[in-house]
Amino acid sequence: MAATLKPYLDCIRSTLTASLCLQSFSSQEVERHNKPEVESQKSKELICKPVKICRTEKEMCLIETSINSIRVSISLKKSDEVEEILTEKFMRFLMIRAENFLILRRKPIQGYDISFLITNTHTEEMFKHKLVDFIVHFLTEIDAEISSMKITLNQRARIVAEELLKKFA
Amino acid sequence: MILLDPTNRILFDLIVSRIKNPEERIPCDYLMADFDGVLYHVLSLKGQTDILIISISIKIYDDLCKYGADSILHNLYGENIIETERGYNMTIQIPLTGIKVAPEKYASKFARLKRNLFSAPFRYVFEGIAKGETFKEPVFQITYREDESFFIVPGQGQCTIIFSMCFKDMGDQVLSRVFLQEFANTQKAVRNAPPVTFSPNPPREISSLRLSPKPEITYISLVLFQRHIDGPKKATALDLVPMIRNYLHYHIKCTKAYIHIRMRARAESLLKILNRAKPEPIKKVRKTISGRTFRQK
Amino acid sequence: MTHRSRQTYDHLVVSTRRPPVIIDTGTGYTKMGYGGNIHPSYIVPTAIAVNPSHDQKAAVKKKGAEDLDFFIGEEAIERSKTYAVHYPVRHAQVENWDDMEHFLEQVIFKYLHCEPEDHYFLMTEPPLNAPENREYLAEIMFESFNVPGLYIAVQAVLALAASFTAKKSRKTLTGTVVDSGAGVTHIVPVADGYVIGSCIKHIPIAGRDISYFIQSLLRDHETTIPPEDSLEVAERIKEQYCYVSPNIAKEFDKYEKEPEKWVVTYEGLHKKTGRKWSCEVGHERFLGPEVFFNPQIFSSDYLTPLPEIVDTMIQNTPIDVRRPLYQNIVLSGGSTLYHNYAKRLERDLKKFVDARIEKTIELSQGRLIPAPIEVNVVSHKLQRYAVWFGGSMLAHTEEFFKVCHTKQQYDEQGPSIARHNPVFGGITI
Repeated sequence: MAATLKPYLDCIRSTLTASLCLQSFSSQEVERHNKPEVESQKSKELICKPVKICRTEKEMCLIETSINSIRVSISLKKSDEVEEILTEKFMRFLMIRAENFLILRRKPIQGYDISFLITNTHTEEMFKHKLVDFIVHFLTEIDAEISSMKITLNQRARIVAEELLKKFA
Repeated sequence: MILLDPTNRILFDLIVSRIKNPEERIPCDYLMADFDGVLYHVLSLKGQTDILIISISIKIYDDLCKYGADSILHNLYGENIIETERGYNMTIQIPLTGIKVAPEKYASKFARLKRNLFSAPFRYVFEGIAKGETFKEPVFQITYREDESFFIVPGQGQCTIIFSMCFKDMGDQVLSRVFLQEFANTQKAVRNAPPVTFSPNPPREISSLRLSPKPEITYISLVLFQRHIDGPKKATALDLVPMIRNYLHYHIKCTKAYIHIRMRARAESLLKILNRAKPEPIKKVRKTISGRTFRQK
Repeated sequence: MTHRSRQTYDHLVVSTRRPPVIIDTGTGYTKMGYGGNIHPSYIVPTAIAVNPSHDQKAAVKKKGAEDLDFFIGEEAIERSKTYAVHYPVRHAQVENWDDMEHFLEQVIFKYLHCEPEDHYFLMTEPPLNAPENREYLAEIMFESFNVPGLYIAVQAVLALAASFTAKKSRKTLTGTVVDSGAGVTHIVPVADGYVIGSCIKHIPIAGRDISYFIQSLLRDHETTIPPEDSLEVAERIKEQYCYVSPNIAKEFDKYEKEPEKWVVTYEGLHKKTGRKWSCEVGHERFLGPEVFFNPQIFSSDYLTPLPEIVDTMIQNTPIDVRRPLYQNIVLSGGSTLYHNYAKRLERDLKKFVDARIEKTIELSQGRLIPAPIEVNVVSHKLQRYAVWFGGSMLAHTEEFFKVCHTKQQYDEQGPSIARHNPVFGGITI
């Protein structure tokens, strides 16, 4: 499993680096508005073909680009029901704090666990390579955190069970 | 705090402080709650503030009385029982003066009122098994919450206690399975621990009741042998068994709180990394060593 | 009408029949109890003592359940030598949500001894609370504790509701609330139940500062007080013997002339040796609370007296509510309990108001004579936990269950439902 991790992350990194070429583009639909084109999806010429990078059937990363914004949607590995609810709770937790995270989207795209929306304003304010670093780092961190939480959960359950049942013994 | 205390702390503290501090004996009329749908009404009447009147309301009072709760009550609280207040199941009167035992011991007796009532059916079965009696009913069922019941199946030298627990939230259901799996595994780790099993379907001991399985309901079976309910162990078992449902729910909630704590810490660290992506603001005003100021435009 | 399964409807019906849980977490003390009662069941310090060997930030734990090794309230303070004591609420705002979540765990399961899924909850928030904090609180209550319903009330409005029990009260939801607790004093104007957010004033002087002041005054002339207990002793002296005097110069005179009538002896026991010690409490008795009316005696950072702040604030409110605000000044919080506090505030405030009227008459050369403004400071027996009591009364009404955010709403829409607090907006409760 670990063997596919590095190529997966490398692929995401190179795709992101290539697609993070954003420039400000006024909306062609509404006067004096500037919308992220990947969200409005109105003008065909402004959006590029989306790229889906799959590590396994369940774990994938969808990168949709446009002229002034990109949307990165991630679907995480959820091997059992415990990891599923931990992932759901964690993603929900982060999405509530989306304002602090700037590039986080408040709702994930259908079929994915979490989505990022990076617009030209973000690339103007922050370093591009650091943004890419952040997303790759995010993927590894979340996986590590969820596995670690699962182990702690089991340890905790063991202590709770033992404390109660040893009183009977 | 890992284990839940069956004693009601508010009642305990109320009685102890009123015994020790006469100036706290003010007239009062409080409504309090406890686990499992229990309500207390605490009264202290004007002019009679040396007496505290506590009424308790339990949905399953009649069921509990079927299994010997009223005789236990009369044994423990006989001299304190007074006419039951309307809307409640039992009323006791507690004098706060002229007490010969330590206030804490005295208060503990009354603060454990709910525990004594709830443990009555279990006590009935445990004592019966110790004496080697045979029971008329094969299964005792008490529905103490809207969708949840406990069943006691007495046997030879042992009894099986089955809880039907309802977890409405999907996340809670998954977490409960993690906990229950560990409950089941404890038998290997701790010698003499009572065996625990769980399943979404009603266990065969209560198959006669023809209960239909529902997705939110899990059945947990605990088998207690004679050594678990003999002598001093009986009191411990009576403290812990009726509270098992509350214990599990408490720990599921604490675990969710713990998960929150880890998520908060992780969110903070991710935010720090993201902030590294922002370039440092250019210092507009700098000073050289000799004291000259350099202003960047 | 959204379809609700039979189970959840029954559960709702049951929860509304059970007494709601009211929790008011202040900077100094947390008041907790069940709705419908006059007094809270517990008033404990808002403190949590955690095992220092357990580092909350460490990602990997050894055993797994160490985070449950903590104590709250009085039990936390008692263990201050072996455990690390944290105060999750500072200046009325929650600063550490991890500690807050743990604190609430024991409040519900140990002290109140109830199942949170069976009760509606009323929690309080300070004025000028960030909407994110409401979201975080809703997140904890709905996600961790599965409460069926939650209402986050503004402390000032509850204090106003609590004042209805006083004889002088006008039983109106328009008034100025002077809420002085342990950490900070707020002055909040409320009009028809809505808080006028832009006019809220904070005063950095509150109970703890008065205790520090008394501690330093005592240190100057009393040497018998054991130094490790000096703050605790100062607090007790403050609660037992302090009062507000009408005029400090005259008060000093009184103490000179009849010391045996005014100076009290405070006795205490050494915690370690058990030996008795005693000290004399003299001028501290009236100098302590005087800090509200003459802050310069305490610190040079903050110099505006309380009555002046109240007056300036009311003058900043919309013109048509000013008279009602002067007429209904409600006190709440432990630091307003000093004897004569209400009278002194009323008197000092009246001075400002009368001076302004005089000025108007003078400047208009007798042509404009405004009607005299009535200044009324309301104090009542339940000031110490007025906010809690207001919450208890509110939770006892039929409408309470309708205005609560329910778990259903939370599950469908997310924590943003808690962002909007009706008292700051246009919807009438």
